[in-house]
This record gives sequence, C-alpha cells and structure tokens, in this order.
Amino acid sequence: MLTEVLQQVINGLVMGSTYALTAVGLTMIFGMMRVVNFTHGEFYMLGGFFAFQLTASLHLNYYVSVVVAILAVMAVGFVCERVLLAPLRGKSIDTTVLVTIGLSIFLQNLALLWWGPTPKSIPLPFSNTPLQWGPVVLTWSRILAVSITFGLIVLVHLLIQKSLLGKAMRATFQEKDAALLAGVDVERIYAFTFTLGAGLAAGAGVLLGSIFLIYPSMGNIAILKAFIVVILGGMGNFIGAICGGLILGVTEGLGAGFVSSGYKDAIGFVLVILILMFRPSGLFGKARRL
Amino acid sequence: MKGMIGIVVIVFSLVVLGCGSAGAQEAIKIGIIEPLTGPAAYDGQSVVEGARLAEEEINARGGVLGKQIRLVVEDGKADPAESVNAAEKLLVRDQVPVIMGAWASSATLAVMPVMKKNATPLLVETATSLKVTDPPSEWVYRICSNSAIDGQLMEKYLVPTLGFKKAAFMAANNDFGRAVVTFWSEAVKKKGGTVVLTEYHAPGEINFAPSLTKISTSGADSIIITSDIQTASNIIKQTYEMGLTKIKRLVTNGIPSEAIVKLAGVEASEGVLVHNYWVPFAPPKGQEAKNKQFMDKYTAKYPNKPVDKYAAFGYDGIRVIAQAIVTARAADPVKIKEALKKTKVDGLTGNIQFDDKNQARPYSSVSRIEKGKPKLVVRLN
Amino acid sequence: MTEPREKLELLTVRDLDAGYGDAQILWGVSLGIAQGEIVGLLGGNGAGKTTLLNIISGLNSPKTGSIHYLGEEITHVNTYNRVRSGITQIPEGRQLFPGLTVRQNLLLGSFSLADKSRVPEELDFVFDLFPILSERQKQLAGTLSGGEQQMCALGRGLMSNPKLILVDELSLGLAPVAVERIVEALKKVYREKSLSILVVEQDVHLCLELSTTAYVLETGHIVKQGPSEELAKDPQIRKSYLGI
Repeated sequence: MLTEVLQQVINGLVMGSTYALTAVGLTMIFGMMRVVNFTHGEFYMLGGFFAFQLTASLHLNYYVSVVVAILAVMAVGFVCERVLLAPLRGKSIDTTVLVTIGLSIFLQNLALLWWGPTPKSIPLPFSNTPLQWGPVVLTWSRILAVSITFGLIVLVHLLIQKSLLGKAMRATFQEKDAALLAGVDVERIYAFTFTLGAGLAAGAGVLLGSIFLIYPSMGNIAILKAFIVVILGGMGNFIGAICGGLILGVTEGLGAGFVSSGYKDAIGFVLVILILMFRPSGLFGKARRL
Repeated sequence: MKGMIGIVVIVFSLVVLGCGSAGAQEAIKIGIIEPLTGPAAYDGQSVVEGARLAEEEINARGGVLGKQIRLVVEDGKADPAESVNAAEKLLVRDQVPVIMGAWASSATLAVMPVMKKNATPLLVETATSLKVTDPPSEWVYRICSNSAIDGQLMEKYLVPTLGFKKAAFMAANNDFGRAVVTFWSEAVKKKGGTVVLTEYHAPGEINFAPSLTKISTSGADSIIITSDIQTASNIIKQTYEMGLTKIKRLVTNGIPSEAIVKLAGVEASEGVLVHNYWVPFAPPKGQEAKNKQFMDKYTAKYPNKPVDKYAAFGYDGIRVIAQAIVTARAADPVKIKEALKKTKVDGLTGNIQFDDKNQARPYSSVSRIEKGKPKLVVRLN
Repeated sequence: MTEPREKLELLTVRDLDAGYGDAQILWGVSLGIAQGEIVGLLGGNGAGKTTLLNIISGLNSPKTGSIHYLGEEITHVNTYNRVRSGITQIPEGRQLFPGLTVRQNLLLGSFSLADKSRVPEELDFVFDLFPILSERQKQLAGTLSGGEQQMCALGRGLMSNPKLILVDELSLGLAPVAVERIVEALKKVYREKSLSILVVEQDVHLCLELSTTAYVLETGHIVKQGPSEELAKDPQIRKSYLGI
C-alpha cells in the first residue's frame, strides 16, 4: 500500500512537472499581455515534432536536438507574436482569443499535412529499461524529463528575478504605463515573453514526447491541463503555476490509483470547480506578483 | 468585337462545365466517414487508403452498372457529433446512396439513426460494439467482427491455452472498450478465471503509470489491452518501463503488430500477444494470392506505411458495396439495402455474408510478437 | 515659428485635439517650453492636465495637432523612444513597481540609457538627493510611505538622464513637510542639471512659485497664459484658484 502511494506520487510528480512547464509559459503570457494563448498546445506539439525531425531524420544528437527544437519553436513563437498579435495590441481579449484559436487550428493542420497522422516516437540515446530504486520503478527518460523541466523552471525564475530584462518584465507586469515611462520598450518585452512562453511549451513537448509518442493533435490535451493548472495557481502567477502543475499531477496519479482511472481527467476539473467556488482567484491568486 | 469574345468565352465555359458536371453525375457516389484528424486518424486514413485501392480496381475494370464509382470522404474524427455532421453532409449535399463508416463504435451508433431517417444503408467496417447489430437495424450491415463474437471465439483459448487466470483490463472508456470488457470478461469467467481489475482510460490519454502501478500490486497475471494503435502502443511501452513484462499482455481487436513494434519498440513489445483480424502474414485459406496482390498494390501506392487490417476492411467494404450495387441494378438506397442481404464476397478479411442480424463473421487469429516479428499462435476460425 | 522667441524652444505643442471615443478632452491646446525653463500647468480636476502630459510622453495619442521636440516632430514616436531622447514623466500617484525593491525601481529608470556605464553616477546623484532612498534601497517599493514613494518616483525619472521632466501632481496626498522636502530637491535638480520642467499642479501657490511661465487649462481649453508672477496677481485666478 505505502509502496503504491509512493509510486503514484512519483508518477504524479513526473507528469506534474511537465504540466507546470507548459502552464508557466501560458500564465506568463496571460499575466503580461492579457492574451489567452490557445496556440500554446501547438508550440508543445511542434517541440515534439522538431525534436523528432532532428533526431530521426537528421540524426542529430538527442540533447542537441532538444535545445535546437526549443529554439526553433521560440523562433516560430516570435514570428507569430510579431505578425499576428503585435498589430492587435490594446484590442479586446476576445479578438486575440480568436486569433490564437485560429493559429492553433492552422498549425495543427499544417503538422498533420507535413508529418501525417501517424504517431511518431523520438529515438532516445539511452535504453528505457526500468530502474528499480527500492520499491520505486522509474526510467531514464522520466528522470531526464523531470530534471530538465526543473532546470528550465529555475533558469526562467533566475532570469525573471535577477536580470535587467526580467526586472523590466516584472515592471511591465506590475505597472505597464510606469514601465513605459521608465523607458522600458514594452513591445520588446511582449515579444520576448511570448517567445519564452513558446519555448517552455516546446520544452515540455520534447520531454513528454520522448516519454510517450508525438502526433499532431497531442497539444489538445496538453493545453487543457495547462489551463487547469493556470486556474489552480491563479492567472498570471508564476509560482502558482509550478505548484498547480505538481498538485494536478499528484492528484491525478493518486485519484487514478485509488479512486478510478476512468475519472482521471475529471479529477482536474473537479479541482478547478472547487477552486473557483472557494478561491476564485486561484490557490495562490492573492500574491499577484511575478 | 469585345462582345463577341465574351459570348464565345461564356459558351465555351458552359460546354466545358456542362461536360464536367455531366461526367460527375455519371459516377456512382459512395460516402465514407472516417477519422482523418485526431488520435484515430492513422487508422481512419488506412481505411480510406484500402477503399481507394478497391475504387481504382473496380473503375479499372469498367466500374459498376457501366458507371465509375467515386468515393466521397468526410472526416468524422471518431467523434459522435462530428460523424453525425459528416453523415448529414453526405446524405443531403452529396446524396450518396450508401455510406461506409464511421470507424468508432460511439460514432457509428450515433450515425445509425441518421441513416434510418434518410433510409440509406450503412456498411460498418471497423466498429465492434455489439449494439451496432443487436438489436439489428435493417439499414446497418457489418463486415467486421463484434465483441460478442470475439468473446465467444476467445473463450476456448483465453484461460485454457493462454493462461489468463487473473486478468486485468485496460480499455478505452467508450462503447467499444466497454463492450470488449463485457464479453471478454465472460470468456475469462466461464473457464474459471477471474477479472482482478478493470481500468478505463479517456481516448487520447498518454500517461498510464497510475493504472499500471495499480495493476502491478493487484496480483494480475495478464493484461488485456483495448484501445487505438497509439494508446495501446503507449501502454505496452509503459508496461515495459515499469518492469511489468512478466505479466502476459494481450492487445485486442486487430491492432497491427508492426505498428506496436515501431511505436513501443522491439524490447517493450517482446512477447506481446495480439488478437488479429486480417493480418499480412496469415491470410484466410484460399486468399493467399489475392492477399499478396493487395499488399503489393498498397505498398506501391503508400510506400511508407505497413498494410493493416483497417486497409483490408476498407478494401473489402468497398468491394461488398460495389457487389451490392451490381445486384441491386441501381444506385438506389433501398435497392442497395435489399441487395446487401444477398451479397457474398470472398474477401481478404474472410468470407463475407450477412446473417439474420446483418452481421458477417470475419476471420480472426492470435499471434505473438517475437524479436519484433509476429508469429501465428492460433487461428480462431 | 511664427512668434520669435529669444529662448531656444525645447518642446512645442500645437493645436492638440484629444479624447477618448466621443468624449473630447482637449480642444486646440498649444503650449511651449523653452530650454532651461520651468513651466507650470494649472487646472482643476478633469481639466485635461494628465491627458496632456500623457500625450507629451506618448502614452496617449492626439486626434489632431503636433508635438515638436528639439526641432523634430515626435507626434507619432513611441514612449520608449521619447524616454530615450530625454522626456521623462513622473506619473500621478507615483506608480512605482510595488513588487520590486527601491533599488530595482531606480535601476529600471535607466533601462533606456544606451551608455550603462553612467548608471552608478546617476544612482549616486539620486541617493545624494534623497539619502532615505539609499537606506531603504533593499525594501520593496510598495512598503514605502507616500513621501518616500514620491521621492523614489522622482529618482526613477532622473535615472534616465532627462532633458525634460513632466511632473504630475507632485504634492497630491502628501504631508506639507514631505512636499517641501521634495520641492527643495526638485529645485536642486534644476540648479545642478541643465533641464526643463513641466509642473502640473492643483496646488496653485506651489505651481506659480516654482514656474516662470504658466498656463491655465479649463475643461480642455487654455484660457490664460503668461509669466507666473503676473498670473499670481491676476484677480480672476486669485478668485477661482487661490480662494482670495
């Protein structure tokens, strides 16, 4: 029993960390730009496919591919922001929602056209034989996923807390007009935020894609989870997104393990309903600080 | 002068367009509803590709009733609502006299009332829920198997031969998955086995660690896996990653072994049992030559894709429909429906003829994956 | 250009019309600031003072009219580039970044400086001006008192090494002692750095005392303008603004 709980918690943490990584980007984009980015799931999907293309077709080293895939998706994100979102600055949130939904449909179908509906598996440089640690079973790909995820989250955290650019991001988030008056090029901050968010989603896509399989519609479920996490943690809350992701992952694991796996996805939504009823601004919504 | 040119252009366009539409009217349309996007797109595409081969073959031989046949394909996304939309489109806009589809059991069950309302026959090619033909509908014919037939056929082998004494199920949470669990559970229980655990998952789920952790501590000696290709492969991959390879694993409903090996890897799929319908390596007796011809043509046309049962059912389905249109002597929904009753086709998927519930009994078998290659274990009929 | 001036014109605002949607806020407003001059802008609540400042700093854009700065038209230049070229607004209500420390707030003020080597020098100048900020530099800006926040806001504005400061309601909600302290600092800045200031104030005494020229804005129109000393003697202004 205890072993099972432990294993389920670890399973949950693995999934939860990638939920967190996806959600951090989503919550940053929302908090900073007031854009609900429905394209986020597609950045996640593209991350997986770029890594697949680089490893399977171009035979690049796996770790190099991970980095290149993330950078490539960031480039895509940057272009999307400049071309589609920048001209809509100051327009209502509904307008940008329509644009990001449209872009999401476009990218998903483009991937379907390019890579086809056949699921793909990213070739890994190590064997995925199970590693038995006491009562707990894990694989390298999962350990790697969790480590890289936390590495990325810490990196982004440091960037936001320590660098001048990060401070400018926080300033924009807290008082946009004052940031403008302080000479912060808010347009550049927006572009950077969106690009960074896309990169984080891509990172999650590459890592989960390495554990599971990749296919054009893989972003649908990812963005659904990311929205749950963002609501759990409070819209625009960085720390909230990380905790929310881990909470969702572990609750799902335990719920599926001890209640019923048929209700696994329902658990996330029950959590959201409870949060919205009792803490409408999210678990960590009060501290609206980046 | 300009006016003259204008008139010439208009007349010329009318002639050309007129010919075009006359040509289109000549062809007999056959509607197809398959998932072309979403998690089941891989399988849906296979059905369409098989169907396209049959279309080409039939048209190369001069078509039916002196006319070409033309497939009109709509994306049903394996989703009930989307498939109903697709059916309405085919029936109202394209006025097809017969439809093949809609891949998933839930989608097919949703489409059935639409067919009845429009008095047009539906040929079910892959949906296995019992409810499709029980209670039977006069408008619905099925060439693939159903879970009740599969359960009956497996009864002799599941516990006695394969040793599934304490079985656990991992099934998709839809009509298809639940039907398999119902009838295969019976097959286990009737021969003295027990079902220790049943785990349902949402379509498109990727993470099975929670369910597999539960199974590992449940004392199960076997797992029966029912889902789409990628989900089933994902489960196989994860059983290996969690060290559950000592537990017997069986994938139901004709998921191709090649796909499992490709997606889950050779190591993870070692020893996995696969419940097959049509398989490339063991065609029904007497179909060997025809089978090889079909596979060669398919591979020539779709070089990067292994031939699977979906393609074979798609291929057979269109042949059955074409045969029925010939028997009916008209591309008329009601006449086609009547003709289907009497249609017999020696298909790749078995001898196709419909019983009093409009159900055919396709050929099936069980194989085991060894070093990435499927080996026949037993023919079920 | 039409009326010759002996002093060099730094900023010229001509015939500004502005508003939000159907509501027009400014009607044909024109205003000039010469280099090294302190100009006052008087007006009651809702006269359009902040809108005018926001248009000069680029936060809002006018419907018609033009703004020239150092001889170049900047009507459509964005805020960021205006800050780079030396226009700094000290916003009403301070608008510090509450979640950042005092030091971080100040450093962000120099975000637009191309030459980052000047930053320590600027920071020293601000700390010299307001020693309290140096003591509190690690504290979150949201926890400062009102007066300290105003100091921090002014300090942040100075960090960009401006040529023109737009000060919006410096005295709003502050104790007289704090106001005096900040006004002294502003005078010191004016003496030591060669810059121009546009002071927007409801406190007419203060505004006229600080400035050499002043404008009076009423419901979006400039109704009076002239040397501050003369305006201070104007009976109408004394009646409606000074309550004498």
